[in-house]
Amino acid sequence: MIEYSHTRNFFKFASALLTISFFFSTIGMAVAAEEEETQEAEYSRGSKMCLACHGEGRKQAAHEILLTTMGTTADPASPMAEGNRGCEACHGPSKAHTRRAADGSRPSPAVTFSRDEPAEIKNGACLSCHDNGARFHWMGSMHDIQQTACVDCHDAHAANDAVLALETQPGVCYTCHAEQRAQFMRQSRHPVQAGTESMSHIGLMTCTDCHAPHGSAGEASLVHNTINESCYECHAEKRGPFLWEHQPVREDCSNCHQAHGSNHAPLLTGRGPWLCQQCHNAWNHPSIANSGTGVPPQGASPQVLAGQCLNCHNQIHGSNHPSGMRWTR
Amino acid sequence: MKNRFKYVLNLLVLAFLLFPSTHWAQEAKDEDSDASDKKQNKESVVDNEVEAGLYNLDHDAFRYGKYSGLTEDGAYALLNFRWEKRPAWDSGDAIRWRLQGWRLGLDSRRLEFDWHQQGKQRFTFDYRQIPNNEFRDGLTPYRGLGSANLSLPPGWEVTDGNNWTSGFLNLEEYLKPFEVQTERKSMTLAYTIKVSAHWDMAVDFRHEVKDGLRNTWGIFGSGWSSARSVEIPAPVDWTTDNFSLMFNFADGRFQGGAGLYASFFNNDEISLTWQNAYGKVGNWEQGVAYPDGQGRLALEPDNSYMQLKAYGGININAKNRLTADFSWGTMEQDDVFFPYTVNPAIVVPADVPRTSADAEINMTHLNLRYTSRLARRLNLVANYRYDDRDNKTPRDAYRYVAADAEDQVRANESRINLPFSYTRHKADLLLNWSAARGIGLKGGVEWNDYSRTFTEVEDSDEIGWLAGIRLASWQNLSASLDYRHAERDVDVYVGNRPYQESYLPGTLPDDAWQNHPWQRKYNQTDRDRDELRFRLDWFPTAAFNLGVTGSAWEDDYGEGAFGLNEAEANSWTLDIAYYPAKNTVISAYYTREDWEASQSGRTIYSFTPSMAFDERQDWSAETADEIDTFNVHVGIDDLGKEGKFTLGFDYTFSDVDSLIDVRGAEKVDTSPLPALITELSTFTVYGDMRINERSSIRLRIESSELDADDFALDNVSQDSLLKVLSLGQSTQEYDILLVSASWHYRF
Repeated sequence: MIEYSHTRNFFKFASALLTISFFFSTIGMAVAAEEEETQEAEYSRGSKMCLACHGEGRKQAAHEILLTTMGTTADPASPMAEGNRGCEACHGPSKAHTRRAADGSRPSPAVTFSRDEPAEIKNGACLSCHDNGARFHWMGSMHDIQQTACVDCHDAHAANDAVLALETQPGVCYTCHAEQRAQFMRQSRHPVQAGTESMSHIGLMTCTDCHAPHGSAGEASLVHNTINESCYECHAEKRGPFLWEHQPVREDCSNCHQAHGSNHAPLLTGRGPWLCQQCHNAWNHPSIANSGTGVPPQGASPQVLAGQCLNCHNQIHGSNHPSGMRWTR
Repeated sequence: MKNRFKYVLNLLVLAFLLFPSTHWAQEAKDEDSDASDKKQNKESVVDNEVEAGLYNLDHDAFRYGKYSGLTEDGAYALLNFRWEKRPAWDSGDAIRWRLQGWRLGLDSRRLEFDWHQQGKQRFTFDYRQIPNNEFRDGLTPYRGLGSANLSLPPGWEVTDGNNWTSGFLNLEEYLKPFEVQTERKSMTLAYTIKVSAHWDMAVDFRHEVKDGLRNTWGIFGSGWSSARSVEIPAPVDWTTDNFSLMFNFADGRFQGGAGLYASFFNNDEISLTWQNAYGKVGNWEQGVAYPDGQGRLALEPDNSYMQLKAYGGININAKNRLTADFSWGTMEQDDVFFPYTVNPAIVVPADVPRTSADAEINMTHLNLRYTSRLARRLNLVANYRYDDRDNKTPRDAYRYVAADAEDQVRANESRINLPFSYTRHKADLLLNWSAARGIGLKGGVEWNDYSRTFTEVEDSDEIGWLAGIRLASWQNLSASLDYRHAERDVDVYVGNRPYQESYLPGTLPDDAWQNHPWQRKYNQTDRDRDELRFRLDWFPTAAFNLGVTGSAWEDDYGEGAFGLNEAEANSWTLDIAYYPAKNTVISAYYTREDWEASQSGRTIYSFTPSMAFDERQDWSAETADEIDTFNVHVGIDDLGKEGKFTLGFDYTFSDVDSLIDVRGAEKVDTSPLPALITELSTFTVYGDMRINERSSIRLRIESSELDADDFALDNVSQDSLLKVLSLGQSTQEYDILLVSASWHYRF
């Protein structure tokens, strides 16, 4: 048994932590000292006034919001409910926007949700109401850290928000996750709508079947705690526990599988037997060099053709047979 | 393909010749109804719709219909609908519901019902059907497909003294086709209710049935010389029930909740037995070859998982928040064990030590997260994660009867199961600094410690750091760049100890090994990882935007060890969208991906130290996947004099070349492998002609072609392999034309 210094990396981690904390704290204190004062703005006369200009057919039409949950006055939590601020519940006090300034220009609403507005400001408006439930993990989530704004994915004014609909959701995600869009074009893939109109690539699953875009307790914003727990949601037969376990399988499905798509069925990160040989170099057949000598017309190797290693070791996710220690039964 | 496009073009011309005439015939009649519709629509958006029509597929294409169910040539019903009620915004009504169905005429149908009393309760019902076609050109001599017992046909003959597949007499006469295909049918019911101002309850239940046939392999014997295998259809008869119940609390400062998650898997078939097709092999016991020998596989056992969950969060003040998630669960499996062998001819001088697995694993997770706004422009996120798998499955010594064929007579060669456990601690800290409006910087560190049992690396840790910059200072340009570096170091390496622990104490010499002593497993060993991500978005005008995204990562496992030495992936995408007119969009993307891996090994034909340490037995393999994906889409709405036409084109091309290059040292013979190629091209044209405000006619034509080369399947017939009777299926390809016509009605 070889033992290495267990604390070596911990000290590296601690020193890096201290350095980065010191660096950013210094910056933070400097920035805090120059915090700006904000002027208190006034509210306008309400949403009807807003929709007079932002109604149907207008350039920045927002009338469809009345068809959404945001527009339902019967829900006291809705911005449009009596006593609430209507459009300004999200856009902030915007009385100045209802008139032209002295120079003829029209001041913007307090929160415009425009591209160049900081995500923190835009999201602050949404999170002032939507701070629990699925958003419980938002703060510090992957999308929060990437400064993703709620409006980057959601269209609060649309009668049908594309990201909430089965058939259009992946398209919204692909706006940023282009690599995954291409991966869903592979011959071995999960049935998520890919970036094509083909009926062979229709969406029977959506991104949110596996991922929680607002953050989660799991890694990679998955809906469950671990990659494996998330996979078992639909592949419970792989969960076991089995009498004879295959260690990397139990640890992380992505050790061998590429969840979005692969050229090597079933969703494998590489082709057998070479994928298996990345871990197995046991004496006898696992160690031999497999190459074109095993492919017709030169040869016909059971390690290379048909099921490759699975021709015998077919119970690769685990076996429950008392004599299944080699995952053959 | 040339004729195909000609056909598509002809259909298009025909369609658009027909559309206007239909349109003119309808126009006068519809004038009045248009006016009344407009009046009606003033106060609400019409959202109810139904689409009915037909698909027609010109060729059988099992693979094309893999997930859609469009598999056989001929006509299929096209039926989609949405029926929705939304309350008028100021009506005082808070109830909305929607019933929607997709592809009801196909095996990929889905039905969803969503009832929502806003601010109070919500109920959803979701039914999904997911077919999964693998292949239909496989041939097997076995009978009883779909059952748990497979037998050979009467008259099956084996040449005396020939125990290879070449010994099967008149094999072709006995082969029968079948489909490797499964189908999932799942139903989900979910209900949430707001119990009080601060409390709600959510309950969720999913029932899924998966059935069909999959392919697996049944083996007799073991090792280089005596193993014989048959590829056989295995029944899939699975049921999964998942249930969750959560009680949630939220007020301005505290959020929290508790509940449970339960999952139960049931397999109607616990084993698969099949008749041995082969003649007797030297090492096999008498009576295990054809015709008397039987083989048995244990199919996936029934299992369950119960998990208790709790979470809580507190907004300490306006700038600081602390959250915690905790869960504890147990996975259990207690299926009855089979005897060591199904063949009575083999006498095992010991009983199976247990009657059932009694397998149990406890899973514990804890997540802590602290977020703080240190200053107006500076945010901190600190995470700690604890993940523990405690495997309590009892350890026992089991005899090894090599695949129902060879008796293990020596008790000291019994094998002991290795119930694998792990504990993982992960901590990270990240700081996000908005240096100026539109300029963000971030930096962080992370630490990961992994302890495992019954594996070569018992303890490792990883330290990493990351940095990133984000620029969004300009209305028409934004960019970001992120870099991460992490180093994983092995702390405790125990090498062959798990192998030794799988035998009875004292039965193996201390230095006995199975994997070469220099072999390292990539999921555990030392690793340096570098990751880079970038993104650039440019919006020069409101009518044009361009995006470039990319990522690259490289894992370096070091030289000098066998196994995976290096892996890397590079990917970049160019996205363009152009809106030349209000009603027109032209978009395109191109993605290039390169995945590469480099690995090495040493050929050792037997447990021979001289060979194990002879570098002339070395080999290396370089694998590469080169992938190009391209799509262009044109969509034009409101075409024609009165804007009643919609027209769209979509072309997608995806090309994958997987290359494997194996090189051997002096004593290792290698030769080049053919490339694994997949090429998919799809061209779709669709048109929509509005007859009136409510009705339209839709036409859609898709031409799709898949070509693939796979050396593992191509030119490999059932008996090409001497030791494996395979199904002999070929690479799945298709070349189809799908036409659909439908009437779409909104009401």
